[in-house]
Amino acid sequence: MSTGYIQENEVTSSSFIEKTNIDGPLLLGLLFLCSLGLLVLYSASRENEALVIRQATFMGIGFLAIVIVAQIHPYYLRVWTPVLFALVNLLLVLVLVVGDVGKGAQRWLDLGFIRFQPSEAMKIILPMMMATFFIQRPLPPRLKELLMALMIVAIPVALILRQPDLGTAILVSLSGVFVLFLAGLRWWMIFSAIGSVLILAPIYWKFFMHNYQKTRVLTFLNPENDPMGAGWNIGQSKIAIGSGGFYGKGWLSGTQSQLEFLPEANTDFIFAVLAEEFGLVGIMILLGTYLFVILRSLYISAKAEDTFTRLTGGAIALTFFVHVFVNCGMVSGMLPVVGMPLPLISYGGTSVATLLGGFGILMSIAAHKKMDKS
Amino acid sequence: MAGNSLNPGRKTNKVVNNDQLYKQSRVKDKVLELRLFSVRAVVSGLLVFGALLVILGNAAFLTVNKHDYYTTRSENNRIKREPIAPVRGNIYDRHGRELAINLPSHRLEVVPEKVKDKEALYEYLSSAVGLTREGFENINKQKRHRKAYRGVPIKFRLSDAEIARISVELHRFPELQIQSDLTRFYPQRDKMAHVIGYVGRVDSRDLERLDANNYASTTHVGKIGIEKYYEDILHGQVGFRHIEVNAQGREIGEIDRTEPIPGRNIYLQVDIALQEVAEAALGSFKGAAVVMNPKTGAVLSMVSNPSFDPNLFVNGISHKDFNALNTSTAKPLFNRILNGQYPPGSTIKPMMGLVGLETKTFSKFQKIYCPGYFSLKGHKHRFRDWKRVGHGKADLHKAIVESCDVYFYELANKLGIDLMFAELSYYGFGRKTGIDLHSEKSGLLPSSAWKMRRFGKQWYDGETVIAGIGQGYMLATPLQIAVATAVIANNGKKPIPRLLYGIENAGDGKMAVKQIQYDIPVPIRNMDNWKLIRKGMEDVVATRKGTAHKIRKSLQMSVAGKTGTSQVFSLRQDQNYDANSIEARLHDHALFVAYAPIKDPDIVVAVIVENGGSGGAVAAPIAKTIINAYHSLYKNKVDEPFKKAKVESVSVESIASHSTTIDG
Repeated sequence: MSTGYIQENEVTSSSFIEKTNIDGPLLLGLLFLCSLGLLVLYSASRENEALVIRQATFMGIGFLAIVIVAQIHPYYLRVWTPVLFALVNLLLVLVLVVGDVGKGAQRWLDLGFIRFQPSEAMKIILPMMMATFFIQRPLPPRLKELLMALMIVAIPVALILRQPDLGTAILVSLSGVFVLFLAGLRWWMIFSAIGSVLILAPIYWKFFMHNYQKTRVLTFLNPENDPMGAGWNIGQSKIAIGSGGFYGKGWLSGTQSQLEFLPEANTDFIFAVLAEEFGLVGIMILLGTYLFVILRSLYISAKAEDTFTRLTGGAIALTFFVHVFVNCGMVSGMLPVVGMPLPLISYGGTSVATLLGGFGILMSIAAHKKMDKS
Repeated sequence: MAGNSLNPGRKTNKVVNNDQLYKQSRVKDKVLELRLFSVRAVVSGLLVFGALLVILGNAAFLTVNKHDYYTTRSENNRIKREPIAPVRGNIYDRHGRELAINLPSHRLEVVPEKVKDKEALYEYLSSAVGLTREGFENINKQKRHRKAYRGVPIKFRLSDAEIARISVELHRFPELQIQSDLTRFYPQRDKMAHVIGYVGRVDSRDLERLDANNYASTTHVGKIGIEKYYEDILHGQVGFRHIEVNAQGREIGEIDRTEPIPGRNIYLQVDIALQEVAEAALGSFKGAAVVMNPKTGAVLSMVSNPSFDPNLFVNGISHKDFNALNTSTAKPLFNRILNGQYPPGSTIKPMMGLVGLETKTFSKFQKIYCPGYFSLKGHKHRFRDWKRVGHGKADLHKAIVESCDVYFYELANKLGIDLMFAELSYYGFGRKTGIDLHSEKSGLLPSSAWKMRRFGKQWYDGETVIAGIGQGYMLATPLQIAVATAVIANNGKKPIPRLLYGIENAGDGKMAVKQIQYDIPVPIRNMDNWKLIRKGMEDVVATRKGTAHKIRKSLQMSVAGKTGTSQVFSLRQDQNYDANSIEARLHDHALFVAYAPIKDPDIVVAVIVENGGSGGAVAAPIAKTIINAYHSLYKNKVDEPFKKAKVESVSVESIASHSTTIDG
């Protein structure tokens, strides 16, 4: 858009990004992840083609979103952020009022043609809102600004906790926290915050946590307590990963997943399917690609010209990372079982579309280095 | 990091005075903020890298270090070992006639997981196969002990009509299935039921003693008779198949299969044709008959009358049927041959006489005057002879032929109970014969020591006197009486009776033959004594004075025998035995033992008719019928059974020990 005039003059030397506003390496990384995701999903769903096509459709929508969002100048993103933030908060309220119940929690909003989780969108909108908040304020933020910023975090997190969806609430909080971290929040503040979380966590446990959430945490702490019940999931996914070995059992040949020993193989536990069928090699490729995508996103953010784009881009990258870390850690038995998809691999339309849409913002940041619209 | 004090460069786009500046003391510094962000971005990148490395490290630990452990657990998850029951071996008689076989049959099963409408199913099953509410509820109870998606049997041995009727309804009830299987069948029905025995459903008591591996999918096990005794050989060895199952336990496919080794066929010494004659000869009498080869111990026939149909027991006998059998005063379930303990009565006289001669207590010329009773010195009590007027002067020969009681009263008194005990033990009284059937009773051969042990009382001479004619404490099973008679016929050699002829090899049809086994022989001091006893027995039948002479006319073989009439009811001194005046169940037992032919005997027959009365009149004709049937069946020579079988001289014992060491 803004560089349109350059294209005409420097056709021969113009790069891919200048022509399309798309960051090539990042796109390749995402395409690779999505392809791998469809491959694993085909196996995890036990060759359910309809399901894979649905997922591919959402990926298509996601990539379309990337292309479209990439063309939007970050300026407009910044301008519209408060409106979007208010809108998504409104949707979260709406979910509590009229939302669909799935697995004991109200998370879904049925828009007739599509079922949609507003909390997913919040993972992107919240960092953008935070970044907007810091545009006019010198960095690093002071205590007063920190508290104000935390207010912004508190509204959607409270709404999501009401659903209740602890996993997403934590993730949304983290996406906000990442903005604070990238904004240069003082280390003493960071450590005090960590300290107070450690103090508040038991209180939260005691008074606010639902029993199923407590069970998950307890199961994580001691899976052998209940090997046939809640510990079953973790036990079976560890068996899947461990039995996969170095090279894996081969595509469509994972016995744990194909014979339905692995629960939630399509969604939260898909990492175990990949591990079982492609082994440690597959895990290395997956984690390597994630690392590449995250580092590339951080690099793009660091190259950005202003606070808004930097903080937004960096927070999106780190939120993406948390998805990866929490999911892989949970499935391999290092973290408690919380409902969190493996980004771009797990089945789930909202998640895929939102994540890819988020990368559209990074594309936009990469393509439009100057904040001013000239 | 970047404190306010380090923030001197102000890039202002608005004018601020010093006060404001002081208050705010900070404005945006693009260079510094970029540096700040870059540092944080690098820190983030390092943290991300480190965190992913932790994930990878843990994954490497699981996939490499603990790979074997998780592989095992994964295989245990998906592969289940499913046992396959072997086909049970058949039982044949000596000519290969079927005594116990497996019939193809059908059973109705329900798969509880597939049941949709419980009530509709119950309604249908109660009308179609008469399932009770209790039985229906039991299906759900069985669910717990059973693997998922396995059928629970509802009814065994469906009739053709039932199969036809149920088949058309199967589409309505997908949870029902008709499975083909094999059912144990006893084609001879109640013939020889006590010998063959029967199989029944494996119950918890069976499970305690059986090899759980080998019986993992066996539904029926031998409960009594040959079916129980040769269970190891008949059962065979379990096979296995490895199947892949999903998380619900539903079978996905078979991976491999080890076929079971079928149980071996067993051939018995018995002749079902002879058995048929023997059973018919006993007719409606309660009693027992044993036909045995005295040289080999081979049991040709064993009758315990009345009998029962073992087929009733195979799939669980109904309460009604069981009560009918169990409460009948004729006790059809009672195996009289092994468990019926009777006073042997006069059938013991040949052995007693022989003991007298061999111990030189009496010589063969010794004559006893029989006035019709015997009294101990200094006692008035009269031990009566069955013949009130007495036999006059009687030597041993006469005492046997005419069955003179007084002779044996005297003899017993002279011998004393403990010498009698020692000598008669050789003939097998008071000990199990060792036949290849379980739960044999040992009878009772009394001694003074036994009485002290049992009752804490001393032995009386009067008790010795009646023991001399096989009365009093003395008890013997029909089989023991047959064995003792075989000893007389066989010059002291005492065979161990056996039912098994051989075991067929599954592959080549060769037969492993059971070796003849002998017990400790009776010591022979003077063969002439034996000949004398046998002559006496010969004349029981052959001479006019003999107690069994009435059977002589129609005999087709030369027969030697001895009658016996044993008292169930003790008469008072002044009473006469009058069959009409006392209850039937207190009537005397009629006994007869015989061997034939006299020269080189091939068979020994022992017959006992409960409450039958006189041995000569009731039991001897039955023995005659059996001997004649034997004669016509074998034309006076013992045939080698199993012409079809290539007989191999492998002992059965080697097979039996082999079959018990096979692992599961």
